Order: sequence, then C-alpha cells, then structure tokens
Amino acid sequence: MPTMRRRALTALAFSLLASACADPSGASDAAGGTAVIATPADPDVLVPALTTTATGQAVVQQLFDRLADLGDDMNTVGDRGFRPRLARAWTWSADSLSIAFALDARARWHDGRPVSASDVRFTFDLYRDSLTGAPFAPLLANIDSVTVRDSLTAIFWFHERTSEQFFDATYQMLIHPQHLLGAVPHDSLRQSPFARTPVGSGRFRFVAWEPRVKVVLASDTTNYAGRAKLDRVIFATSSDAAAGVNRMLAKEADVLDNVRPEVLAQFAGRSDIRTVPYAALSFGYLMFSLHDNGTARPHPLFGDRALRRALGLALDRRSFVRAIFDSMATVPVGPVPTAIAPKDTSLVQLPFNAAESDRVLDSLGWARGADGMRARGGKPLAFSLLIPAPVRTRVRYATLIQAALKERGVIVNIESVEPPVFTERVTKRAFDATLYSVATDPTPSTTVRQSWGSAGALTAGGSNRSGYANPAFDAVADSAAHASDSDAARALWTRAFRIINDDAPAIWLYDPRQVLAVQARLQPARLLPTGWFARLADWGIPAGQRLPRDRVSGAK
Amino acid sequence: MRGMGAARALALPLLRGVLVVLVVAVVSLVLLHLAPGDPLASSADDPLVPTEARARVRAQMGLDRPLPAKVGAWFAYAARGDLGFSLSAGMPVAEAVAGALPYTLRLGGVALVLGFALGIAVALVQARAPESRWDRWVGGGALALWALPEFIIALGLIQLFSLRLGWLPSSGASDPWSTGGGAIRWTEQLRHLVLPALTLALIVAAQVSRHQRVALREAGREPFLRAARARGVREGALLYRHAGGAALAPTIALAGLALPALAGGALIVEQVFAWPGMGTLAFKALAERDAQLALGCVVPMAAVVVGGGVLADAAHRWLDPRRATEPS
Repeated sequence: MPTMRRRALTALAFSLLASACADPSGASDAAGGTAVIATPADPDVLVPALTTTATGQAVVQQLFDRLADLGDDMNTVGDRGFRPRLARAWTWSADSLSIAFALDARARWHDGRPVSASDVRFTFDLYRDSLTGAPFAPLLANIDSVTVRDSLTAIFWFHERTSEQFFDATYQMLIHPQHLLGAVPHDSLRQSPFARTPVGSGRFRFVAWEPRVKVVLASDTTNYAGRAKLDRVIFATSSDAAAGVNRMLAKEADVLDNVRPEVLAQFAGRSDIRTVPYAALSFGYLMFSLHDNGTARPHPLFGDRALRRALGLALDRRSFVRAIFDSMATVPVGPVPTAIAPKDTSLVQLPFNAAESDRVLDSLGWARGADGMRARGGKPLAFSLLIPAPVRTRVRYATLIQAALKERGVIVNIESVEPPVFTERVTKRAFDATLYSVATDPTPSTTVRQSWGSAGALTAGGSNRSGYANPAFDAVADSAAHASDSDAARALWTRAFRIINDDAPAIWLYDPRQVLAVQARLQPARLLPTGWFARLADWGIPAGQRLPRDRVSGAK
Repeated sequence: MRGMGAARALALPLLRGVLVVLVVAVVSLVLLHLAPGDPLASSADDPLVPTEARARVRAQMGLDRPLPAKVGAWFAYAARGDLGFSLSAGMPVAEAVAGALPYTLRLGGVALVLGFALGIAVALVQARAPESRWDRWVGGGALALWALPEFIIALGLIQLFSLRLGWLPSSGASDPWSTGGGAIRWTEQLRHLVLPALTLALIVAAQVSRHQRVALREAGREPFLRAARARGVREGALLYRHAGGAALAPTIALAGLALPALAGGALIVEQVFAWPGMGTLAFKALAERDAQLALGCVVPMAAVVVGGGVLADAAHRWLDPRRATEPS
C-alpha cells in the first residue's frame, strides 16, 4: 500500500505540474461543453440564506451573486483585492461608518427583471430576521441597516469601525430577488417553490432539480458578468463515496471533490484523469473538554492546564501527518487552517517532547505502576476519545494517539459513534476528548472567536465546545478583529494564538490539502480555498476534446 | 360464489396487514424518537451556526415536542395525506416518497421477475439430471451466490461490466447529461437498470432455484406422476408439464417471503449503484436522523411487503386447491 500511495502522489505531482503549465487561453476560449460533477448528496435547499451543505453552497454560488468577490490573495481587511460583482463600485463615507455600493446597471435576474438596490436591502433584512433562521445571520451583527439611495445605490450602515466591515457586507450575503421572495413568509422560505426552483443573477441559471439524481444549471448567455464558459453544469448525486469514484473511472462524471488519500491510488497512472490539490479552509484537532459533562465544574482531568500540555507534548504531530497524509497535509500552527494563519515563523504550537511530557506527568503525581500505566490516588490516567465512526482519517488518528499516549502511560478508550450521535454529544459537550474537524471562514475573526471565545463557552449549544475561556485571549482576539490594517491584525492574531497554544484546550493536528479529480479534457480555473467551485463559470473544455454529451446545449 | 369466497378470504388478511402497518408506524416512531443523534447534525456541526438558529429550525420542524405529541401529530397529519416536511430532502415527505417509490418498484419488480425466471429455469435444468455432476456444481454455485453479500456481487459486476468492459453504466438510473426522450431515453434507462437488477435477481434466483429443485423432487414422488410415467408420458413432459406445475405453488408462496429480503437488499444495492429509490432515501433519512422521512420510507415499504405476502398467500391458495379450505 505505501508503494501505491507513492505512485499516486507522484502522479499527483506530475498533474500539478501539468496544470501549472497549462495554457489557459487557446482552444478552450470557445464556450461550450457539459461538466458532470459527482456530489455526495443533494443540496439541502437552494435559498442562499438557508443552505448549509457543501453541495448547496456549490450550487447557489453559481446561481446568485455577492456585491463583491474576495480576491485571489484572500485579503479580508479593508477592500483591497475585492473584485466587483453586482456592485461595480463603492464609496466609503468620511467617518468609515457607511459604504455606498453602486450596482451594475446591466445586472438582471434570470427572469429578466433588473437587480436593484431594493433587492440588496431586502436580502439584508431577510438574513437578519430571526424568523428566517439564516444560519450565518450573527456574522452580520456589525451591520446596523441597509438603505436605498436610488434604484442602483445601496448603503450599508455599520455600528462600529472594524477592519472587516467590507468583508462582512459582501462575503456573507448572496443577493436574493425581492420581487419573487417579498411575499413569502420568512419562516416558510424552506418550503417555498423558490427553494427548489431558484431564480438568481449569476453566470449560471437554474434548469432542473431531480431529487437524489441531479441538479442541472445552464450558462446564462446574456449575463452582465459574461457568459459562463461551460454550457451546462450537472451536479450528479452519488450518495455512496465508491459510486462517485466509479463514475469518475467509468467517465460518467468529470469532477470529483474531496478525493481521499486511499482513492488517489485508483487514479494514479491514468492519463484521462488529473488530480489537482488545493488549499482548503478546514483543519482537524484533538479537543479536550475543559468542563465536566457540560457543567460549570472543571473536567476531572482536562480542567488541569498542565495535564493538557503534557498530553500535547506526547504527540508527534509531524509523524502522524506523514503516516496518514504523506505530503498532502501540514501541521497547523494555531486554531485556523494554514491558509489564513499569520505568516509568522515564531508562531509555533507545543513541540513534541516525550521526555518533557513524562516529567510533567510525574510532577503532577501521575506515577507509573508495574504495568507501566499511570495512576494517581488509585485512579488510572484514562479518558475516552470520541470520534465519528465512518471518518477514516479520524479513526486512524485516534489509533495513533492511543498508541502514542500508551507509551506515556495514559489509557485512551476510543469511542466510535455515528455522525449524528457524534454531533449531538459534541454539541452537548458530553465527551472527555474528541477529534474534531471544522471548515472556517477566510478570516480568523469569525470562527476563532466563536469556537474559542468565552461568550460561547458555557451557553447551552454554544459554539465553543471545549468550554475554553481566557479573558486575555478574548481581549487580544477582539483587538485583532478590530485592527485597522492587516499588519496590525496579523500581529494581534499571532499574540492570541500564542495564548491559546500555551493553554492547550486543543492540540492542532492536521491541515489537509484537498484533492479534486478532473477528467483531463476539462480546464479548471483557479481553485480557491473558499471553495473549489468559486470560479466554475471560468472552467472550459477545448472544442477539440468535447464528447457528444458536450454538444447538447442547455444555455440560453 | 367462488369469487365472493376469494374476496372474503383476501379481506381478512388485508385487514390484518393494515393493522401490522399501523403497528410498524408506531414502533418506528418510538424507536426513531429514542435513537440518539441530532437531526440537525449537518448544521449543528458548523460552529458558525448559532444556537438560536438551530433552536428555531428545531421548533419549526416540531423536533422539540415530546413523544406522545409527535405520535399524535404524525397520525393526525397522515390521515389527511400529509406526511410532514423532510429537512434532509428539503421537500414534503410525500413528494420525496412519490419520487423514489417508482424507482424501487421498477428495480424490485424486474429483479423479482428475472430472479424467479432464472431460478426456476436453473432448477428445471438441475432436475433433469438429479445428483449428476452438473446438478452438484449448479447447486453449489447457487448456494455460494446466496451466501454472498449483495455489495460484493454489485462491486464485481461494476468492475467487470462498467470499468473493464465499459458496456454498462456504473451507477444512476439514467445518464445525468441526457436530454433525449422516447426510445432513446427508454434504452438508456434500461442500460442503467441492468446491473442493479441483475445483482438482486442473482440472489433471488439462487434462493428460488434451491426451493424449486426440492419442490420438483418432491413432486416427482407424487402418485399422479408415477401414474403418468406408467402411462408412458415422456420424461420431459413429465418434468415441465406435470411436476413443474405442481412444484410452482410453493415457489409462488416464496415470492411473498422474497419481498422483505428484496427490500433489504435494495437498501444496499441502491446505495452502491446510486439508484435514486426508497433504499437511498431511507439510508439518507436514517443517516441524518430525519424521523419524518424515515417513517415516510418505512410505512410504504412495510405496506408493499405485507401486501406482497397477502397476495402471494392468495395466489398459493388459488394454485393449490388443497389449501383453499384452510382458514386464513
């Protein structure tokens, strides 16, 4: 198997080189073709304000537009690098507490109606209305209101100046059509016909959704932002992971995301399938519960900072990454994926130091017995490690951690449960320790403060599942989120991450590079960490490499 | 008069069947309520989704109600034809089920017919030369097929016919890119049906062939067959016309028993082949703890299984007059 994986990775390196050298112009310029994307599930709902699943996001981001898109450098501070989308220009007020967005007068909904400033105001009100139940509404908390100056000018008013006001106004919301949704009660959006037959303003328009089979989109040929290069995009559902792989191998699908390391070997050596790695905004860690079963009482083991640090010192995270991902992952330096971590080489997490781990455990009174395992006051040093059963990466990590800690005299009982049970247990904080993985926003400001800030530490169902609370961390993280420029923000985040790394409420384990498998005839555009599908409208198929199915056009 | 008697004989088992389906619904409701797991797992797992948003959806969907209220509400709405809204499918449950059921009936129906035809044919061929090497080899093969899990057969067929030979599609019920209609669409759907139907049919055939072979041997010992042989009826005619007819009744009864196995097999086979039927829907419902959808899947499948059993029993009585007088 290691040989197979090496072969796969060699193929991957070649394909990476090939994709880097590929000429994005040339024969692919002429529009046309169909891309079939194998997805693991149907979208949940096609109202952007409500969708939470990866497939839902992939579809709605083709159909709907933001006011402005993040640039390739992923900057979220100020407005540097943002690319105009529905808004062709914007103006900051003198006090920086409002931004006026001038909409592109050519923008139209797919039913022909013009996109107006009223749609922008309607969208903000929709997201903010608690009846809607928009999952990401709290991320708009700094926006006080949106007003309409004229049919093409929407003004965002903010409560306070922060470095990410522009990001808040543009990244979290896709603009919804008021003329189609204005009459729908906000608590019935999920059940409305629009949720299954949406009308957007994006470069693809909706054609059909056949449940458990496919969602079909077609190029909006007269779109103000330019025609999508592909005629059609089909999201074909393969609820079984192996079925998605088979579809790729049998050339029934053109794109497969989230290719696991064990599957790479199947694509190795095939000239018709390219595997393209890309940085993503997800990472995994070992999280300790700092409180006893969700109560205010400290956890009998992990309430002790020194013990958490000793366990962290015992884990050789680099060798874990090599064993499981080979070269396809790195060890994160803090509570964010590497793509958005401060680029400061002095920022490191606890080192691997087995001798120091032993010394600390001894000093805490956890003495080794005749069997080599540690105990204190007759109680063994043992805890349960909760993992979701079918997630292979975490199952393998659990085994490695169990073995590494056994060498230090610590007993780890792996508790493997179904994903819905896992989520319920983690949400209720009914665990000792768990292997957790999250996808984040492209800025630390949102996820880090929600996942590790004191505010969510002990509230029922709060997002801070470890129960970690440190006022010093909160203060520095808040300052970082309000910093006036990127350099200041970076320095403050570095300080905040040092604090949390020292407290060790979690041990950061892996930041995997995602791999997208693509049939060689497709020419993908740049894959962004915010989602490989972000530039799908710029993907192409050279005219000479099209199949019969590419010649069926659904575009109009 | 015989028609009225038959109707009466069918009515009581049908009534019993309805009762069984209702009990299945209640038991499923209770078990789904007791099962651990968060129905909002996909959103609850995202730390960006706030507690209030999750609580609102929970209230909207009635997930926070106690068990008796859930059971009462489900029956009250179901009586009006409303099976609730599925959070995981993003549509009314009735609509999701109505979309999936035809796929499963198509797959199950073809597999059942094909499986019985194959099974009976194999048994007849075996019965022509009982205890021969051919009989033992075919019998062993059938037993091996019966013992194999569905997904192994499915993966083997995909590997051979889709990935190596490229003759048949590996998954789905139609080509995703297809826009054709009429004969083209029909042919395409037929191609997609072959491998999943064959997977299920092979298992049914293995089961049927073993039963049919035993039934044929027993029928061969019946006095009427000995009499026919004494009258000089040829061995082929004896087997196909006389013994075959007599041995068919217990095999027809087997059709009723094959339905639950077929429904269970469909759950796996539909997953492996990404077939958009009830199995895929039920799998999704259970994986996402979507109780409304799970019930929407369990009740019609229970009705099909119970109904199939009743019909098979009735067919058995009709084919075997000796059973017509037995109480139902």
